[in-house]
Amino acid sequence: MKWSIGTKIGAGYALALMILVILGAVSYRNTTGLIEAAQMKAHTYQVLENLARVLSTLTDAETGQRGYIIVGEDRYLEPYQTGTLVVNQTIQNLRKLTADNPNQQQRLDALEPLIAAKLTELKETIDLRKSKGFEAALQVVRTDKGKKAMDDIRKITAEMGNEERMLLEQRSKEMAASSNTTISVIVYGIPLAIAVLILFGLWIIRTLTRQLRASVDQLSTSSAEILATTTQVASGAAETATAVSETTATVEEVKQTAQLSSQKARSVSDSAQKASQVSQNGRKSVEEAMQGMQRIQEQMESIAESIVRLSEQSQSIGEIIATVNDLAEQSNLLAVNAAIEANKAGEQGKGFAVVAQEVKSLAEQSKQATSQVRTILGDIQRATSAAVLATEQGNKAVQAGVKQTTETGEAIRLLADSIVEAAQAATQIAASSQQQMVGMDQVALAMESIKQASVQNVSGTKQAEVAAQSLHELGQKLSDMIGGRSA
Amino acid sequence: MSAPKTTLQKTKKEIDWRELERRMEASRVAVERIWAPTAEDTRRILRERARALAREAVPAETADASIEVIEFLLAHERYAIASEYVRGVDPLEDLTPLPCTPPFVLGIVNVRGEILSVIDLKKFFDLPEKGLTDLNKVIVLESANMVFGIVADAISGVRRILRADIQLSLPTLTGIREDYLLGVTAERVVILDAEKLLTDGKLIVQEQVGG
Repeated sequence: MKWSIGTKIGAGYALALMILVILGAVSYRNTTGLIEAAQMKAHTYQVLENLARVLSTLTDAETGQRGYIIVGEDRYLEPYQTGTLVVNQTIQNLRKLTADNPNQQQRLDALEPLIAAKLTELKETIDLRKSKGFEAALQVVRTDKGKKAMDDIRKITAEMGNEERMLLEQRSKEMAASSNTTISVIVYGIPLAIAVLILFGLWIIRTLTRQLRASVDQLSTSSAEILATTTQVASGAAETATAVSETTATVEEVKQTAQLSSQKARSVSDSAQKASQVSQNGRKSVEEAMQGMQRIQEQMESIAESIVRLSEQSQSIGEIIATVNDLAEQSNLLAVNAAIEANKAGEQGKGFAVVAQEVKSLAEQSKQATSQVRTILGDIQRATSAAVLATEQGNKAVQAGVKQTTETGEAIRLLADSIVEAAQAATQIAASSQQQMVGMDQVALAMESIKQASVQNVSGTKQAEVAAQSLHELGQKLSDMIGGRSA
Repeated sequence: MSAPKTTLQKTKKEIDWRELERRMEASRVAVERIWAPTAEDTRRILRERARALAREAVPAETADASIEVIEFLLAHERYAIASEYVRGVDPLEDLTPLPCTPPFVLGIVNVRGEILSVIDLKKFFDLPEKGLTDLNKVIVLESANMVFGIVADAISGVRRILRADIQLSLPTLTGIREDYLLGVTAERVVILDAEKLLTDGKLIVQEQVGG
């Protein structure tokens, strides 16, 4: 059973109190018993006194009767008279005093008629003396009636006195026993109590000392541990301080880096916006180029049409030339026929033959001219065909150009989109690095707080060290106080 | 694709549109002036003609020394035939093929209201076909009792040939042609014997279609 120190001390006090209460109660009871016994003793003496008074008063009353009888003078009647009065009163007293004793009451019941008979006898004798004189009275006295009554009375009173005396003895014995008990209580109880209390106190002291010693030992080890811990904490705080200062420097660097990256991001954003504008201009240029291409295409078509018309016209020229050629041929034939006719005409036809020769040469020239024209026409046809082909190829090239330009426009559009995205990303990066800078400021603030906290930690650790030292000293003092085993 | 284009653009000279316009204008002016020759041109032409006319005529050869021939082209070869047997030359028009005739008879043709049979000397001479030729002229041969036409590609003209220049025969000219040839000149003109042609019985068609 594990009791706390308070409980133990309380239990000791409770034991002491209990012993005190027991002793007190026993003493009180014995003392009150003694007082009561003393009172009962006084009562018994009163009863005895009253019994004696009954006897004495009766004796006085008899004395008075006898004196009156002898002398006959009223003067001698006085004891009788007072005696009768006192006897009744005393009987009443006795009845009151022995109300708790039925034996005595019975005896009183027996006593009362005897006393009444005695008194009646006394009165009778007195009255006889008074009325009949001495002799009559003497006669009555000689009957020994009075004496017998008196003996009975004496007997009963003696019994009562014996009873009371027996009671008295009994009570005295009780008183003696009681006072013996009291004395034995005082004589044995107090040393016993002292011994018990001393044992208990010793036990409490021993247990308390043991516990206290254990606690003090614990306290001393704890304080030693606290000391070690505070030392560790102090060195840890120092390390923390170094780390914090390093971290602060790093944070400063990171902050500068963030600032730099923010600037870079901003410049990237600006560049991206410029590039976006450039790409928009490029798109516009591409659109213009496409319009230009379309115009070129239309021009090409009109050129091709013109060339085709030219070709058609050269065709009609060819037809004309064919006609001219035909004419030349016929002229040639005619010239040949004319020459034949001239030959047949003989000598007269010679001049005609010359003319015919001329006509023939003209026709030949015409044919040559037409052949040249035809050659030229062929050249023209070839040239126009080449031109048409060239325009067709040009048209195709323009179409390819349109397609390429469209692709270029698309590429520029994609590029512009990418650039816009890049600009947005750069803006976001700038915002992020701004936030980063703010965060770094907060981190720096936090680092400052940590620094202060570690400084406070160090001072707190010093205080803790001092407190641990004082704890140690306290433990030492306690150990000294407990004494005994202290080294 | 774009790379050669750019190199083309680099190598090619830029088009001088003004130069082009100038050239176009010049050609237009030239075309317009063709019909109205300048005074200098006119003078030059007239002078040339005068010079030609002022030339002394070639001294007339004797009729025996030379013959007058009509030279023509047939299957890229030059032929000539004496003009005394030639009535005239005409364009070959509206040839009507005749059935049941030998292959060398092309058909009949209406020449100035006269129906003439037309003979293809190429087929008659069994010359190899060397591609298609014009065959759009007809030379009408005539003698006292025979008139027919031979087709020619072109009529070169009338000329005189010295008899001395005619080589009588050539080893290359063999077969049926040899019979109808007078000779060959130094200019490789084959001179046909018109008289023989006109009198030859081979040309007289006497085929009968059975039935």
